[in-house]
Parts: sequence; C-alpha cells; structure tokens
Amino acid sequence: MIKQFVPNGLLMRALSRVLPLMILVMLAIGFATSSIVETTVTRQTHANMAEDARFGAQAVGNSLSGILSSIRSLAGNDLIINALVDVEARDAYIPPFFNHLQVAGLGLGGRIAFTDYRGRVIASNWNASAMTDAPWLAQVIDEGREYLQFDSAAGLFVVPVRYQGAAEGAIVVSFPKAKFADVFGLSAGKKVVLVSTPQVDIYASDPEFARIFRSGEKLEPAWIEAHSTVPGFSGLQVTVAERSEVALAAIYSLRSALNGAIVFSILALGAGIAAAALFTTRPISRFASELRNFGSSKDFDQRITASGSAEFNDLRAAFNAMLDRLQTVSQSHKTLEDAYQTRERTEQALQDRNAEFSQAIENMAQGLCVFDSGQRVIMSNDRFASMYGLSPEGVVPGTSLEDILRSRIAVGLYGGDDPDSYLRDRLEACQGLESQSIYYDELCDGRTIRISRVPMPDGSWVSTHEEVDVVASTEPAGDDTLIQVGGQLLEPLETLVESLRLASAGGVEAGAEMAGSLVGMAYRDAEAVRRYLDDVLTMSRARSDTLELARAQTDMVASLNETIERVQAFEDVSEVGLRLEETVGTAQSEVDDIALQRVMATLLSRAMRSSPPNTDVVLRFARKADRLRLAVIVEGSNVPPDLEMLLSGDARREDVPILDLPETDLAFLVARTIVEGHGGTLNIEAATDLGWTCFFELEELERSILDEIEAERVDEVDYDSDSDVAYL
Amino acid sequence: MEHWVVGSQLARRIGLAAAVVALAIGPGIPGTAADPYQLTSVESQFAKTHTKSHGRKLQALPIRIGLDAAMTGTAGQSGLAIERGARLAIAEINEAGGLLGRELELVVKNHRGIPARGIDNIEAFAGLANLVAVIGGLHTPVALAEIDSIHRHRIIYLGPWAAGTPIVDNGYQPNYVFRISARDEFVGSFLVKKAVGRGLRKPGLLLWRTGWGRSNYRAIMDALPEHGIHHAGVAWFNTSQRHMAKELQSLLDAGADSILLVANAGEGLAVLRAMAALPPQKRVPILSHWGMTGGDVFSRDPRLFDEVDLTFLQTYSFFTPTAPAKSRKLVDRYCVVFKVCGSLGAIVSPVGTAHAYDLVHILARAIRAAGTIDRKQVRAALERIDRHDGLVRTYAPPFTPDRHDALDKSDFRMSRYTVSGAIVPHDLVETQ
Repeated sequence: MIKQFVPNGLLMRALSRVLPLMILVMLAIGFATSSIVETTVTRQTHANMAEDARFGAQAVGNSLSGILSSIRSLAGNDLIINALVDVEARDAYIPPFFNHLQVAGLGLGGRIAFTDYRGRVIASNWNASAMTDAPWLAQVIDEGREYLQFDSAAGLFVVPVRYQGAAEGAIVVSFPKAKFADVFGLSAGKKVVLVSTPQVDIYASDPEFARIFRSGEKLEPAWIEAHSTVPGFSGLQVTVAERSEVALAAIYSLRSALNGAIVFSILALGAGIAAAALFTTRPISRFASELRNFGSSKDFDQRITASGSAEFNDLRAAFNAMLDRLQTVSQSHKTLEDAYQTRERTEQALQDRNAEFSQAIENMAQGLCVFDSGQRVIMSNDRFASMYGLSPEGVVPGTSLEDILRSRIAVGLYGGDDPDSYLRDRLEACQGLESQSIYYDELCDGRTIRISRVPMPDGSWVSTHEEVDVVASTEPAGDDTLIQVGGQLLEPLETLVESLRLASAGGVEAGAEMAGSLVGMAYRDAEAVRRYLDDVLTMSRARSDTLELARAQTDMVASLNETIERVQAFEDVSEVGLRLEETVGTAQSEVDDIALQRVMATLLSRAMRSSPPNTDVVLRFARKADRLRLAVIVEGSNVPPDLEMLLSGDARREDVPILDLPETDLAFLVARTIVEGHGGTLNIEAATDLGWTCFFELEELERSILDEIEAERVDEVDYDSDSDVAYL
Repeated sequence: MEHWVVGSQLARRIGLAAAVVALAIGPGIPGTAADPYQLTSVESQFAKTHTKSHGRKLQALPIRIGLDAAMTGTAGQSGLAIERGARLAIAEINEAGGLLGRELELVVKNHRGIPARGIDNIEAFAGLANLVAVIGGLHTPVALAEIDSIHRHRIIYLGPWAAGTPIVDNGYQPNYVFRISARDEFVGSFLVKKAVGRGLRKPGLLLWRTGWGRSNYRAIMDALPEHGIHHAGVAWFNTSQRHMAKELQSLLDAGADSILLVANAGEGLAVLRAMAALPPQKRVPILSHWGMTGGDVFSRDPRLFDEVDLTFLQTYSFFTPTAPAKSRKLVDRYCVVFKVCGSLGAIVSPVGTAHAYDLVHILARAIRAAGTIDRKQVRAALERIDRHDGLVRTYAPPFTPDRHDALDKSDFRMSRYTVSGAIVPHDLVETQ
C-alpha cells in the first residue's frame, strides 16, 4: 500500500521538533534578556534614585540656604542691630516691623523672633515668650554660629545678630512640621523623601517608610532608597525612596512586554511555520505532488506548474528542463524500442520472407551464396550445396569460403594436383573484389560451373553458380525470378531500412550510443542490400519494360533535403560534407519522388566516395531555362572512370545479366534509366583535377497549373463564408 | 529635645558653655581665663606691687568696684581708658592703705556696648560680695538700660563717660547714679554755641538712633532757639551703619552748613568717610560729641582727619590740665604702669581716664566718710562730700542730693586730633 502523503508533514515535524526547541531557546533568551535588562534597569533605577537623592539634597540645601540667607539678611540689618542697643525706643519700631515679617521660603507659617544675646525675645511676629530664657539658645548665640534644629514637631533656625563682630542677639525662625515640605523645597512626587539626621527623622513624605527606615527593618525589596548628604548642612541627610514595585515598574512592564514578546514570537513562529507551510511547504508539496504525477505519467509530457518564490520558479524550470530532456530520451528510447520492435517484426518478416526467399532461392536453377567481407556465408541455397556435393549443414551462415572450398576438395570435385594452390588462388580471387567477376570452374566430375561474383559496397559479395549447360535454358526465367523474389524481399527490407534509419538518425542519447552505433551499422548494411536489390529489381523491370514511375507533384526542395538526410545517414560523412545549395525557393515537379531520391542518393553516394577529404559535395538545385537543374558537384577530384564510361554513349550493357553487373554500374544504370524515364538526361561535366559535375534537368510544373491545384485544394477547405479570417 | 547644631562639635560646645558659665560667675577676675579683657601682665604686676608695697596687712576681702563698660569693639578704647583711670586711682588708694583697712579691687565686666549685657552685668555685680559701686562706660544706651537694675539692687553707679541726660535724671530717688562727665543737656547747647561761634548757623543734626542720640537731639533742639539758629535737618543712623552718604547728603541738600554729630567711633568713622568722599567745597565742618573718641578712629584712617574739619567735645586734656601737678603725677604713673610714655597724646581717650580717676577717689572719700561699704550709706556720703581737688577740676562739692553731675559747661572744650592722632584742645591747636 502506498503511504498517503501528508501535505504538511514538514510543518508537523517543525511543530513537533523545532518549535519546542525554539520555545526553549526563546525562553532562555527571554530569561537572559530579562535578567540583563532587569539588572541594568535596577542599576539604573538605583542610579536614578541616587541622583534624585542628590538633587533632593541639593534642593534641601538650596532651600535651607535660601532661608538662611533671608534670615542672615534680616540679622544683618542695621536697624535690627540698632535695636540691640536702642533699648529705650526699639519697642516703637521693631514690633511693627516684626508683626508682618515673613521669611522667604517660609511664608506665613514662619515664626520669627528677635532675641538678645541670652535668647530673650526682643520682638517677634508671634507670642514668643516660650523662648525666653531658653538656656540652649543663649549657648547657641554664645557660640556665635548659625543653628538649625529640627524635631518631629517643628524646625528652628537661629542666626546670630552680630554687633562689632560678636553675637549679641539672634534671629530665631521656627516653623511647624506642616511647613517642612516648604522649608525643604520639596514638592510632592511619587517618590518618598525623608530628611533626617542620624538621630531623628525630620520630614518624611511617607510615614510608613520613615517608620521602617528608623526601625532598621530591611528595606529591600519593598523599597529602593538612596541617600545623600545635604551640602552645607553636614549631618543632614536626604533619603529618596520608592516602593520597588513602583520604582521597578519599568522592569515589570518590560518583563511583561518580554513575556508578551516571547508568546508573540512563539505564535509568530507558529504562524510563520504555518505561513511557510502555506506559501512554501505547500508549494513544495504541490511540487512534489506534480513530480509524483509526473512519475506516474507515461510520456513525460506533463510539466511542473507549481509556482512560488523565485527559487521555486528556478527549481521548476530546472525540473522542466530535465523533463524535457527526459522526455526526449524517453521518446528516443521509445523510438528505439519501436525500432527494435520493428526490427523484430522485420526480422520475423525477414525470416518469413527469408523462408519464402529461401524457397525461391532453393527453386533457383543457380546456386546462390552470399559472402560477407570476411568470406563467410551470409546465405546460400541448397542448390549451391548440392551443386558441389556438399551437405546443407556444411554450408550455413558463418561457414567460411575456405571451409566450403576444402569441402569441395574433400568431396573430390577438385581434380587438380595442388589443392592448396587451388584453395589459395580461390581465396585470393575472392579477396577485395572491386568489380563483378565471372569465371568458369571445371569440376572433376565434368561439369563446368559459371561463377559470377558481384561485390557489395561493404566488401561482401554475391556469387551465383550455374552449370553452363543450364545457363542458356534458365536465363529468361532468371530475371523473372529475380523480379519476383526481389519484389517480395524488398518490401520488408525497406521497412527495416527505414526503421533503422530513423533510429540511427533520431536523437538517441549518449546512453544509447552503442545501440545507436549498432543500429547505424545495421542500417547501412540493410540499406546496401536494399539498394542492390532495389537496383536489381528496377533494372529487371526496365529490361522487361515493366518499370513504371509513380510521378506525382513533388516539392523538390523537401525531397532533396530528405535525400541528403538519407545519404548522410548512410554514408560516412566524417571527412566529406554534404550540403544543398538551392536558389529556386519553392519548386514543384511531377516526378516519382522515391525513384528520384534513389537517383540522387546514387549520385551523391558515389560523389562522396570519390571526393577528397575535407571537401563538400554540393547538391545544387536551380532553375535553368525554365527547367529545374539538379547537379551534384564534386571539387578536387576527377570523375570516376566507371561513371564516365556508363554515362558516355549507349553503355547500357543490355547483354550483361543483371546479377553479373557490378553494384555501382547497376546503380548508375538504374539512375540513368530513372532520369531518362522523367524526360531528362544524365550528364557529366568534368575538369581534370578540378572536379566534376553530374546533372540532369526536370520539367517544372508551371505556376498556372500550381495555382489551379492550389485553388482546388482551397475549395476543399470547409470554412465559414462570412469569415475571411479562417481563410486568411 | 534633639538639638542639631550646624557645624558645631560637642566638645567645642561644651567648652564654650563652660566659658559662658565662667563669664557669668566670675568674669573680670584678673587671671581668669574666661576674661577676655583681663589685665595685661604689666597691670597685674602693678597691682600686686602696689598692694604689698605699703607693708600693711590688709583684710582678706577687698572692697570691690565694678567696671561695666565696652572693653572690646570699636569703643573698647573707652573702656580701657576708664579702667586705666580707675586702676591708677585704686592703686593710689591702696598704696595709701586702702579703705577701711581693706584693699580696693576692680572687677571688670564687658558689656560690649550692648544694654542687655550691661543689665546682666549689673545683675552679676549685684551678686558680687563687697561691691560698692560700678563704674559705667561710654555707652549711654547701656547705662540707660541699667538704671532700673542699678536702683533695684541699690548699686552706686559712677558714670565716667556716658553723657545721656536721663542717666542721671533717671527719676529714681534716691538716685544711685553719679557722674563725672558731660551732660548732654549742656553738650547740646555747647555744640550749638560753638557752631554759631564759627559762623555756622544752619547745622544739620546727624544722630545715632539711640537714647544718647535722642538725648542730644532734645538738648540741641532746645539750644538752637537759644542761639537764634535753626537746624537744616535731622538725620538718624543706626548702630553699625556703615554708609552715611545718604543721611549726610540729605542734610547738605537741606542747606546744612555744619554737622552736629552724635556718634561713637564706628559710626563716626563712617560719617567722616562720607564727608571726606564729598568734593572739598561741599564738605562742611563737623562739630561732634565725644563718642568718637571712645575708639581708635584716628589710626584707622588718619587721612580723614586732614580732609574733614572735625572738632569734638572734650572735658579734659592732659595738654591743658586744670591741676598740672596731679596731671604730671598721673601721667608719670600712667607711663610706669601702662608703658605708654613720651607723649601726652599717647594717653588714649583721656577723658575716660581722667573722669574714672576722679570718680574712684571721690568714691574712696565717700567710703571713708561712711565708714562702711554699705552702698546706701556710701551713696549718701557721695552727696555729702564738700570738696575734692580732682584731676579734672576741683569739685566743691562734687555731688549734691540734687546734682549728681559733677561737671558743667565750664568744663567743655572743643578738641581735635593732631596729625599724630593726639587729642588736643581746639584752641590749643589754633594757638599753636
């Protein structure tokens, strides 16, 4: 059972494996960040608190200094000093002065008294009798120093009034506790402010803090405090404090924000993974799905259409490019497979036909044996074996000529004295056949055998053996038999050749290079046999006047291109090029396309074989005086003698049996026959060592005729008369 | 009650407290560490020498005379002068066998010019055994403030300098205040007379805002009509006032052709500076009470006395002594005891010395006459002394029940500083 694909498996893995780790990491980061931030903020909070304490102490100092300055100014006033002396009349001007006297910074709440050097009140803005005879005040004045006293209920400034450098009185300013905030210049704020001495708390904006502070209870973590000595007032200290939850509110907020951020990040991570699943994993899934679909497709004709990011697009393009090549390979393999199937069918057909062929061959009066270039039997008939007294099993495909000859000697058909010499001579005679050879072999039993050997392009050859007495009686029947047998053999052979050509010429990839090479070799072998048989058949039909050309309107350029393609597949084109030069454009001619391609293939193959290396054989197609001229042009070599001979004069060699004609001669004779069958003449022009040109001309179908044909074709098109678009 | 003292240290405070205590119970005792104005070593040696020199055994407990004056500050010189006069007299008396078989002893208290301290000093003297009298100082305000205490404790108050009329005319009967000094009532008339004598007919009054100023104000205001002139205006200044330009200018703007000044040394110096700061043509003569001579104003800024036409009241001058023999004898003693020799001008604040010297001798006569140191009887004896040939003058009698001021206008003379800072009679300078 195929496991069902889970589209978001990656997401699930991420969620199950990555996300917890990420959460742990983020929590760790959050904890570390929180700790760092908390430490930093706490340190900063303490620093700020210390700064506030310093500012508070400065403010207290400034305020007290301001008040002291005001009192000093009053104490230094010469009228006040005068009152120390002018006991007689001071009551007339000092009390009114004091009645409405205020000290800056104290407002109406400040009580001001003017005393003598013993602290006895001279004047005041309130009933200051309680201060009279205060021993401590006398002592303070006697010290001649400014005095500042605070207790839990009131505060007191004493500034001496100096006369001639000595403290002879004092300005005493007292104020109730309610005025402490004004005296200290402290404004209400979030933070607690405590003004204290080492012994007593003077002012606290928060009594609870003062109680805790004085009791010595541990302030942390409930409170965060900082202390600072009031400048200019040693012993006086300002403590600024704030409840931790307020002071560190930023930390708490930050911590909350951080927790929120972590939660948000986790959610965002999940969302990100989900989004990734949606926008990335899902495209990947679609991508993978399409790949699987592709994998299940037969022809690799599907393409990946999934889209996504540029990376996906690149991946998609890469996959599709790969699929293109894969499809090409697949098609090539399919073609190859088809070719093999065709070959199998063809082989089967060939076997079938071979059976028929063998039967036909067996029915031949001649002995027939075809040897390959290695002088081994390709095929033979029983007549051949029986003619030489050999068993059919002794002449089978693969049997060497030497063995056959030795068998002849063994059966006593050789009557000479030197069998080895005979054997050597005969083997050498068959070695490197270049043209048809005929000789007569007289057997020791009295029979004379006429042996005709026709070499094939690839080095093989076809030998026919007949007793001379039989030759005359069987000559006519021989051509008919050839026609019959050749016709039967040629059709499947052509099928095989076409298949092999397609396989050889088709894009078989590197992996199938060996197969392609083998196919190419098979094609060329088959093509050679096919051509020969075709030539034999055609020539036989020509001699018997049964040759019919199937002339039809033919696109000459397309036909020539196809011919070039065939020749290139057949011939070795590694050293000699082949190209078409056409100046005609579109040209139509009424010809037998297949026959004409045979003519051109014969001419081009012969031309390529005779061309020097690194030259091009040019097939030039041009108009010449209202006719279409097809010329095969070879540069740098002389015209082959056999070609020249065949094309010069009436060299049809009608008296030579077809099977005795050399393969090349037969091919040229066929070509000449076909060209002449189309009303043309095969000509040759040559210049010594400069090259040669073989050409012929055909009638071109007139334009008017073509127009008529086209008009007839157009009339057959079913189109909407109301619409010109379809026609156009 | 928690005390928090700015910048103080407990030990220091304790030390100062001890000083205060010492000051309260025994200030003025020679050799007491707490006495900031104790006798110099020379003075102490002088006292010891002359105590033992006559070879008679004196009773253990001396008869005490208090000195309550400004011994420090800008008027400290006045206290010193009074003390020296008193000590010279006491020395002579003790050399002569003392009084009632007992030695005289001077107990000094410094009131610093502050009435409150003066009162407290009187209170302290009141508790001092064998105290017969207290010699006062320069400051009329202090003396005025002490009047009630003096009479409450029946302390004989001998005024050698403070000229305030109400000091003597204090309303108490019996009056325990006796004075050898100027009396403002007379001074006012004298100054106006002197101004008129110089052709100055529109004086401006520049007065210290105290009882002394007011005392002179009344005197001058009474005297002006007597001499047919009017004042240009009255300006008051406060104690320790350093800048007098405003007040001075107001008087000048009012057309004052002279200034009748009632000031002590500090404030008087400020007036002189204000006057000297004016263009010379705008400066006017200053006819001053004698308060300025209670301090060493000359040495502070001698230039001022060249630039300002200053004359001031004096009642005595060693340059023109009324009793030359006494004067020479005293000057000699002065030189021996205080090592101030060679120039009469070197005797600082001479009126203080002379007045105190005469007061102690008159007091001694009264004690002898009373045969007791009981202050009530001594006070009465003072009113009964027929004659005393003193340094300043011949007192015949010095005091009567109705007159406790021993001097009168005849004793007054205008004086000025010489270029060396000596105080000399003005007419003597003019003569020279």
